[in-house]
Amino acid sequence: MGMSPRWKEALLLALILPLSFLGWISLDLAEAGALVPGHLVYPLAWTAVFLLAHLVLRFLRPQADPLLLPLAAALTCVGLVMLLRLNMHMARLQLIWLGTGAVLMLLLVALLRDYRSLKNYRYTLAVLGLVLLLSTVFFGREVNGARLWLILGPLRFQPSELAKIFLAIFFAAYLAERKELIAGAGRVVAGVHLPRPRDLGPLLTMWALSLLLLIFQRDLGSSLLFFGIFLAVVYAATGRATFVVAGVVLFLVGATLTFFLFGHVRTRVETWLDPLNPETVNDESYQIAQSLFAFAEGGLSGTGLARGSPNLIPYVETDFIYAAVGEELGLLGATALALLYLVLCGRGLYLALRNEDDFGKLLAVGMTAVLGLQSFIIMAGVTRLMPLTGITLPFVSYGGSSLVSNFLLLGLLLCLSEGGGRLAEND
Amino acid sequence: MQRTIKRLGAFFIVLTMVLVINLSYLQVWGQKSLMENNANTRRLVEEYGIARGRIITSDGLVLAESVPAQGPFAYRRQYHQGSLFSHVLGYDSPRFGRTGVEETYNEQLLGRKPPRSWVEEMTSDVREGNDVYLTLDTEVQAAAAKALGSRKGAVVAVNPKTGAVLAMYSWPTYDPQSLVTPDRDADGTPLAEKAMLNYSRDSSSPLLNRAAAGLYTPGSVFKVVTGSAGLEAGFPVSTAFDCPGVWEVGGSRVTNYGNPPRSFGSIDMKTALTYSVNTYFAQLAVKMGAPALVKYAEAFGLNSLPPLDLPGVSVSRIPPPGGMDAVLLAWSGAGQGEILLTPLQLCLVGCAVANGGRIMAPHLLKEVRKGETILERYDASVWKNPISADSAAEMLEMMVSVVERGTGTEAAISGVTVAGKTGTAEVEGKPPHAWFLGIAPAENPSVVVAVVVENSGGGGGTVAAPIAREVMKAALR
Repeated sequence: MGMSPRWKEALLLALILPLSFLGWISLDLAEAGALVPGHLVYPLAWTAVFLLAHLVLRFLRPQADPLLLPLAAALTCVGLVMLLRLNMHMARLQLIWLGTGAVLMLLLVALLRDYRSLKNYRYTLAVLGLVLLLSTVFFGREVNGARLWLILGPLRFQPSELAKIFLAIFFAAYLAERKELIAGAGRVVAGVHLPRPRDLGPLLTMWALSLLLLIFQRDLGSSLLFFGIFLAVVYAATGRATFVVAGVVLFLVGATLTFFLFGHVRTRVETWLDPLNPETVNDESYQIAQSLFAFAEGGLSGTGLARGSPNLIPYVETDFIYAAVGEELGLLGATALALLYLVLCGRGLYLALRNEDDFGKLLAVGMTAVLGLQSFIIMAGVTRLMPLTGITLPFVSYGGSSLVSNFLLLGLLLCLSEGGGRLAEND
Repeated sequence: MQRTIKRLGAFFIVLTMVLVINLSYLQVWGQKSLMENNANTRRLVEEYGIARGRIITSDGLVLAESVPAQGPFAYRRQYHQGSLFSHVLGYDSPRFGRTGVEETYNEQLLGRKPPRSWVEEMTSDVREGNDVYLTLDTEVQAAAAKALGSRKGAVVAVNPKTGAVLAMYSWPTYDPQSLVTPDRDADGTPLAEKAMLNYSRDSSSPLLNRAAAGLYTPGSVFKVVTGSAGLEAGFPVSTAFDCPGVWEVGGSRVTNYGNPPRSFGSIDMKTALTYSVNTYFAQLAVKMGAPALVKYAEAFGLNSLPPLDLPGVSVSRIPPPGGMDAVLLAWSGAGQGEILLTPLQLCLVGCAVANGGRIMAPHLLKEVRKGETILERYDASVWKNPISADSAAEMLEMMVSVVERGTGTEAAISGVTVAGKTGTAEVEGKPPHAWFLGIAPAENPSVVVAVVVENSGGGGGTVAAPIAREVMKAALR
């Protein structure tokens, strides 16, 4: 293939950009029976954002990976069209966040000439991440049983969204430095490679931090996500399944403890086991039950945009937007969206494979784990595959903190995609 | 590290596969059970988002229509005619579900039937339902309600040539509007909730459509069936029996009305029907035997469900021939014993007599319209053909005699030949039910009316016949 990365990107964007106009047309026809010219601003603004990003990348990073931006475009397109259908006001705000996120991503790409310099700030980032996380414990506002929000005047900000990126960078830097130390040492007992007790330190620290999050913030989703990201990076770095097994066991122990200690965790588990219980179906398990009904209503091909009733689900614009996709775009649409995330994760891991530098590899793994695990946790939550935890669906859900953070994450992947060389063949 | 990264990739692939398998379960295999879950209100939101069609009588009176509503549903039902048509209309409520023609023609009212062309189906949403026109006639219905008044009972009027139901009224009744009203009382309890509670607790069962679901001992009106069966089974009108006031049978007795029971001597079937002589029809039943009586009763529709387009229709019953001894058979001939009839079924018996022996399928639907366009029209069809045209004509003639000089003179209308049969059904421990079956005009019948008044305390001739007269008058105007 002689085509340069930026021309590949242009070609892919050319395929995806018309989707938003199709979404606008089919939505207006279904809702009003005629096109509302005023709504044209949404696909136009969205197109402008991605064209701008593409043009800037041509100058700043001509060799950056060509798939990332089109994938983000496809995901935000689904999100924007769904929001346009669910809540016009939120769609308008989301457009602003989309622009903000894209500009911040381009700034990051412009300023961070070499991603390796991030290594030098690893402890700063770790401390910043922890401060962000713990800030809500002291200054946070409790919304829906979880302390996730910092409120500064008119701005509401969910610090865990940014913290997960900072901590993922820290994990990558820390483990790139010490992977041999951690993986190499230790004894082999009955064929199982046991780590040295002191190497278990980071694992236990992360475990404790996750539990703290769970206990003080009542944030099941972030707790699971942080621990999952950490395990993914540890596994990639050390290749030691014992860490993963030990980690999963530890998390289950912690989760079981909180199950007995905290009512809201118990409620989540009970509504997961029996969401259609007549006693709770209009109360505690209303949301998950309505989500399941939405998926059922969608069937194979969906009701069509604006023909379902996703507004019956509380918080459908944020945590439950996947249920709206399932209802109105059906199994086909929901599967397509899941596959988009898989392709994005696959690309992230491909970048990790191709990168020649350990930190770069682990950073790519960390960023991919953030995206992959977060999207899986919420998609699995709203479909009752696992207990529901309130986190956003990356690039699709409404939310400023989430969208901006995910664009920054995308920016990091773009930066490190240029730093790599050929795909190293040896292991 | 390359190997572990690839394994992570495999892990994400597995996660996605599990997700998609679970999605397929939710959206395809498990779809039905989720959609039918009681807590799933999506059906309701969708259905009450459509401006449901109107329900209109054959003469153009709007009985029900949808009006925009506040709250979770875009529309709600509004009923205009109080309790006059309630048992036929039923109600359409997201709280209590549907009954009556609201249930039977739900799909038409929602615009789903008759099916639209696929181009329309692809390009436009159903936002307005179709109008359902009923065969009911406002004046006949009003006459039935007025004549029955505040007496427990029911009236059914049918055009015997088509099976079109002209009136169907049952008292006590209810106001469907009270079950769909959005209003609340001072404590915030929906008034509809209260109304439903009151209706369902009321021991007089106002929600019951006595006309189609009430089962009553028929008494003497059943002699129309016994007589017709006799005509078909080889006992012509001229068949004479000696009819004492009391006839001994199987160690028990069948008695005529009157105190002491009136004796008639040797009479033929016409005289027996005219004066409703129990001992004649008891002997006729015993002579023809239980198998023949049951066979013809079933031919008239007993033991099967009348195909009326209304939910909750009851099956009228006669015991199997093997279950009848001589006493029960003798009493059955006179309409007592274990026979139970709905007013609708009696009306259908009359239809066979009035329509040359054939019962047309009874129906309430006249047509389905969208604006001025007729989308669907009810096609009349024969339900049963219990007796020959000759037998029907002979029975009709005997019934004319009932109204001219027998027990049913109260049903006479000046200038019209009315045929009829009275019934006074004995009920254990309570006053008897008063019945009347009327047909008019006898030369070319256009209406058959069945009336029952529960535990009236009076006879069919005095209590039920005048009601039938008023309804027939309204139908013949």
